Amino acid sequence: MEGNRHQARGNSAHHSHGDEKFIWKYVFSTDHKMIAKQYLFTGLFMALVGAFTAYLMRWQLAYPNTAAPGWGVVTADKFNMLVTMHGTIMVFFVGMPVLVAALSNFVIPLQIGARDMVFPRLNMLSYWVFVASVVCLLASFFVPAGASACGWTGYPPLSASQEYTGIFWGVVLWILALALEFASFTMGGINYLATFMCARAKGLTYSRVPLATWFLVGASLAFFFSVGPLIAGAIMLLLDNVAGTGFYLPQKGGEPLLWQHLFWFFGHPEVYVVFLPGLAAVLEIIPVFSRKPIFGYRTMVWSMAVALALSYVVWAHHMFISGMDPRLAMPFSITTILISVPFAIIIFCMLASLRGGSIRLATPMLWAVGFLVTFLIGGLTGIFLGSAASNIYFHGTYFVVAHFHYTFFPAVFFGGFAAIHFWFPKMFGRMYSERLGKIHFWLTFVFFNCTFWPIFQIGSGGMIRRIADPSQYRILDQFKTLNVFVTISAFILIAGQIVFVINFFWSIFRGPAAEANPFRANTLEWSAASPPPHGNFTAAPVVYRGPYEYSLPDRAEDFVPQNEPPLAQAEGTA
Amino acid sequence: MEPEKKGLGYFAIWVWLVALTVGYLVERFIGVPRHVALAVIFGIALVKALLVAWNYMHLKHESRIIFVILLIPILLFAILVLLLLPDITLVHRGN
Amino acid sequence: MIVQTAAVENSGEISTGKLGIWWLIGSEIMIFGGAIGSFILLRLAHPDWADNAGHLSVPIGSLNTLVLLTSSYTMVKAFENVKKRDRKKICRFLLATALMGLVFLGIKSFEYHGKFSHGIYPNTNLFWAFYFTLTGLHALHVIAGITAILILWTFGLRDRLWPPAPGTGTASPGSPGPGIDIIDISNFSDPSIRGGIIRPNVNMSIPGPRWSGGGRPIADRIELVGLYWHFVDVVWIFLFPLLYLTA
Repeated sequence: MEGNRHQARGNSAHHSHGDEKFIWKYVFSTDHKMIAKQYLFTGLFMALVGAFTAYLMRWQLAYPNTAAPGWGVVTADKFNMLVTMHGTIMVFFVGMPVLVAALSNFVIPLQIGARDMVFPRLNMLSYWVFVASVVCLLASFFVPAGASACGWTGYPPLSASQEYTGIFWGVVLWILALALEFASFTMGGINYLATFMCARAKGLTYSRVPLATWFLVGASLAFFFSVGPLIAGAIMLLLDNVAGTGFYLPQKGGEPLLWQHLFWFFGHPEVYVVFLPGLAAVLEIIPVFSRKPIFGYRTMVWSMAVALALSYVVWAHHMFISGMDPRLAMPFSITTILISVPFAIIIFCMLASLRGGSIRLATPMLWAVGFLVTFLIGGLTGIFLGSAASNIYFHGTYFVVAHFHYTFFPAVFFGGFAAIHFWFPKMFGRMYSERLGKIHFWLTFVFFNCTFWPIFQIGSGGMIRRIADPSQYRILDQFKTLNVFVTISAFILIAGQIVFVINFFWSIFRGPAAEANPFRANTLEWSAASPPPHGNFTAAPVVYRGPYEYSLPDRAEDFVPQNEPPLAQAEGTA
Repeated sequence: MEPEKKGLGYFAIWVWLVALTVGYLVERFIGVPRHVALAVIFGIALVKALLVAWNYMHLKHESRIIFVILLIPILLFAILVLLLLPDITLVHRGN
Repeated sequence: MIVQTAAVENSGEISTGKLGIWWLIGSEIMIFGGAIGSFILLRLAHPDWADNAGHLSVPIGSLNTLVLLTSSYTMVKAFENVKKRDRKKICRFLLATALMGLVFLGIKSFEYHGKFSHGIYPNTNLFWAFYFTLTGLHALHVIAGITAILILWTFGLRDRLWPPAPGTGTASPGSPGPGIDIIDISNFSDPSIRGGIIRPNVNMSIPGPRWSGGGRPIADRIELVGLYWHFVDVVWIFLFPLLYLTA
């Protein structure tokens, strides 16, 4: 094994001429796999920052006004800042880079048999713009008055004028960070979409494209067409802050609701931008680890298309209590309930794919099944929030917090970890440790539920969102023990990630060498070497079949790679 | 693919565009009723935009996928404006 | 669907560069759509903004419209000469387009200056906030377009729009490497021309397919920049009546 690995390394070094300077290979790389890793590592680093903000908030909620180890007392204004930055970081700087950018970059070209993205330099630029965005956001912690404290949704008038929060630079940097991030992901989106449309291998028709690629492309589409109005809105918000315009300030004739509309016009598709890549990884894992063809390939692709179309017309369900025109509540309730139909179809198709399979619960599969279970809870609680009548009661409470953590956490972390473990051999050429992987999964799964399930109860009991000190409200005294329980669970949840960090880095450097196709999967990425050299494939792959032909009765092997020629002409082309 | 003829086409389009722009001014001199004027103004703008897109951007030769890429955002723009009408426009008018 | 089989780059209808530009335009429609849509919504709510709009000079705005329209015409003429491979004319039309873009910006800044000298700033009221935001955003796109056009113009001046004819130069236009017939990005994955990736077309002495972006001549980019330029023109075609003519 060891010898093989060295030989593989030698070959790849030869292929890329071996004289690549460090800076071109690891920093300003145009190789889609390296850019994917850059996004992955940046995203995981930001997850640490995000976890730290979560730790401080949970400390304050369980032990109000005591000094949190490593920081000090979390004052009310700092609590607002932490809420804001936690949301911003976890959604835009963890979910987006890890799921959208890293996965799309790594998976799309490999699965469609391309040598690279069609615009490799644009790809590199998009990563470095994203780095600038990260720097902007992190810098905002250190400017006078600290980072933005307007909530991750940045609602005006709080965010539109310094007089409300006393924060100027923090808000400006927050807007700039978002603007740079959107620019970066727009470049990325153009790249993924054009690559998908133009660089598919010979024979890879639209009905043979693996579902992971379909769903990643869907995520890019959702992002691509929804972000424009928010970019325009962000420009206006920036001008409100720096030029004294009043787009969102009622006293200057502006309209705060306009921002909410523009934000959520993007914000709801954004949920799918993060969710679809998680689903993409899970959909790819299920057939491989149950050795069965996927159930309802076309149904799922079309369901995704319908969900995408609907995702643009559901946004106002985030705004039922914002004071918007009540006549809008009914149509938006209806579209919101409607959008659960295509996702229900997808979930049923996944369950049907599992049924009767020879399921092997390896780490990626554990994450995939964990994703299904937890996301289902998130989806079902969404029904309470989608209908305007019950939303009015729940919206301002921790019920919403629990709900969106039950949707985002499975998507970002369960889906993300599923993807990381599944494609780990391909990415780094080594195997992760199965035992550590399982320990990590069970720690995360158990304590994720211990953390967020009680929050549903706390929320429906009436605990308001975004309050810095629950001990000030007599009604919340009953939740004191529950809050402590949640906080301790959250700490163990965060601490459990150390297992992942150890597994991840140990395996990158010391894991056993991975063969090209360790999971015996069909899609094209597994026909390349592990890790694939610059340029991915030694010869142009040709695709002869769909991606999920497992356990065919007339075959000796239980899988048939997409690039394996049909039996009749096997002698001719192989 | 007759470049000569197409070159003439480009120039003719330009003449049309100029004429339509002057049309704005003519409309102002005649002084038609306001709502008619607005209809004319935005009708002219639409025609000009279509002329540019159709001829200079060669949409008339382009494959269908380009139309999909263009029509989705235009449709979404229309949806956004329509759905926001009650919240932004009507509310302010009510005040 | 559109491309049912196939999958080779430029599988007939459309190049990746063109596709990329159209996607870019699609996203720009949403950006301008958000800004213009917000303006339309609030403008409909405030009939009284007509007084403010009355301060804008329709003749100057019309002149600017004509300048931009004409620049679109010269741009499309440059593209037309790409087909005829007439380098001199290409350069002339590109320069004319860029100059007209600059004239447009000059007139625009003259207008801005007039407003400032009358004490009208973006924070004067919401109409002027929208006026400066929309025209400013548009002006930024004009600047980007001019920059791209001038870069192509310098390529034209130095005769680098096309690779030299076979046998006359060192460059071999985008010949794919061995076994590569999926998409032609062999020039990108070849580390021997790494420098060329950051600084394209600087050093002519290094052999390799440096003439090409994805195996295509620089001249093809004139069409792409042209598409963008026409789009910027179309945005102005709508901005002009929205801002100037609704008084």
